Amino acid sequence: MLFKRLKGLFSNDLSIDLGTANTLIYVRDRGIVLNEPSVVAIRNHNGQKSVEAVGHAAKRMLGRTPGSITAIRPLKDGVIADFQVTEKMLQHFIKKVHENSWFQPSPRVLVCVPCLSTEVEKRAIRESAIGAGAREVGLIEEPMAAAIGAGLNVDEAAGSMVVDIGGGTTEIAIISLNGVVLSDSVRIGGDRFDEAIVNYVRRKYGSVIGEATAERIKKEIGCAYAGSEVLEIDVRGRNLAEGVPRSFTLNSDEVLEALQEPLSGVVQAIKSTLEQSPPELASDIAESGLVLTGGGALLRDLDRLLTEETGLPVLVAEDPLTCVARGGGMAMEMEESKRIALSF
Amino acid sequence: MSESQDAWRPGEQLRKLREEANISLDSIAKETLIPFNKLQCLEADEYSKIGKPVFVIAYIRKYAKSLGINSDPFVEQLKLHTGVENSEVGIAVDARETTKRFKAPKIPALVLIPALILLWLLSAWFLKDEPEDVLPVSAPSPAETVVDRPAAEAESGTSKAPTNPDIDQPAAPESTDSPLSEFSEPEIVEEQEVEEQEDSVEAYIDEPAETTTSVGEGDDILVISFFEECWVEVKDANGAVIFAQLQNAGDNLRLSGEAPFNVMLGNARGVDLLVNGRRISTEPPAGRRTLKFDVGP
Repeated sequence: MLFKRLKGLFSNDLSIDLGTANTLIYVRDRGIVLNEPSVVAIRNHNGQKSVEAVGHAAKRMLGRTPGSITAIRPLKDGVIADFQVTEKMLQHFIKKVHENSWFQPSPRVLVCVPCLSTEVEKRAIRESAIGAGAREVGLIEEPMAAAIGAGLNVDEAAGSMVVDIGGGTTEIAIISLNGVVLSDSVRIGGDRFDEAIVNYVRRKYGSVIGEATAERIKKEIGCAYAGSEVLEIDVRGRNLAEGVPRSFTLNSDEVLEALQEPLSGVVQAIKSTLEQSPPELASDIAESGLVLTGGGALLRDLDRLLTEETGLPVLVAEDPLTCVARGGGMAMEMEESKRIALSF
Repeated sequence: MSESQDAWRPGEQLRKLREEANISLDSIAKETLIPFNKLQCLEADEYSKIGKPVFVIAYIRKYAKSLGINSDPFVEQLKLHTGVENSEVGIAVDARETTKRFKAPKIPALVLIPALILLWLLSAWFLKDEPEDVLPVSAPSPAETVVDRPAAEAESGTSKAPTNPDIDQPAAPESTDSPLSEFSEPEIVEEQEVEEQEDSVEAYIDEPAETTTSVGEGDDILVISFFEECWVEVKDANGAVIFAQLQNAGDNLRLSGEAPFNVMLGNARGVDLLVNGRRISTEPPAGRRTLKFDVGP
């Protein structure tokens, strides 16, 4: 214990956005220092498993691995699906951000978790971080961290609504006086968008594309609003009938069609939360608007869709991808000045 | 505010572009659902009335988007503008900048590790001088130097100290002519007792036994009287430990050897020390009880 504390002198406080798609680490006084895919490549050699690659290197292997290597995404729907692999991944990332340290790092870590995580899921995250070398582990609800990171007035007696669309889940919360008044979490996120595109392409073009290609399509031409400018992209996939690679052109209207189902799920969840919100807070939200964070907020014209569907001003936070991790770091600083209570 | 700065105010610029496009503010409010009064504040560049920077930036982006123009230059200008007039809107756009205010100084390992080593060395050196913490390492077996032993016991030969056969018994009377006879403490050291003490020192101290026996050959004599409990360690000129033991109040110690002696006293105020009959002050420095010194013949 004493040795851990001593090692803590040489470690920085970390805020980790342990996301389904990406893991971001915010280091105090340094900002976002790591933004890598939550992917681990495992090599299986005669029954002995070893970590082959983590992060970007492992993601490049997704769908391209030989039999002895498996690229795993250890988090699913915002929670840990593979405990041991998550621990290894965290260990790798924590070491990576302490590259210049002489000692094995032992930082205080704040991990952002989905707001409807069960106690078992929270415990798994805690133990995983401890196993990765953390000295102390605290948890913060993702929408709370997102709101702080986006720069919302979380400590005022005024309602703020934040929608964090991550890789695995969409977190919706109404926040006032440093607390979550109302929250909801749906298991729809960037991964579901990719999956919808893969299914659409298979249905319409009879071709199979990988998740990485689907993600590229979403990022480059994906849109959420019918009146948006139409963009096109050339895609190569394996034709199911012929069994050979074929290329075809996909446009943004088709992507919109593909995304209809997951998008309507997100819209429905937001509407449901708004219906339950106390009237005073609803009034505040109608005045100031709803703030979008997370990678999903970068989907073209998603704000327009939500504006039309909810009748509220919908605003996209600056740098929405890093809001949660930054917010976690800022929450640690707020805790020091006793403005917020974190469960370490 | 200068004219050039006015020209770059984002709200003002957006208003001009809107008027050029012949679009009413009301229609922008309807499209973006941003409250009309907030759009008015935005056009007037009164950001503090809008709210937190996140809203100001987002409103500018939505406003620009509704006009069909790129919002990035306006947001950049806002950041620049509010950077100049931070007090007006209190914008801190980048969280990394705000965190610098909370920067806690970290001790670099390069400084901390040598400092810890230095501290350890200093404490080790300091404790070395503290007799309370010093264990008598291979100290010679203590001599039964109790001079006030009952005479009957001494006479009956029940003393624990065996007699050294190397010492000639007649030597004792001769010793009265030796420097011992010049001691100023005849009330403590009686002739017979001195003999017994010599015997006992020789008997219990293996190495210094030779030194003791050379008393008659004109070696230097060290006498210490204890009126408080005190640890004592004495080395001769060769650095050999003559004596090292805890003495009780009332004990008297007489040692012979080659001066200068190196004497270490654990409770320097509790002893009276004579070298060759010369009284030596054993007053320790202020705040200390211990004293280590060399004393010549």
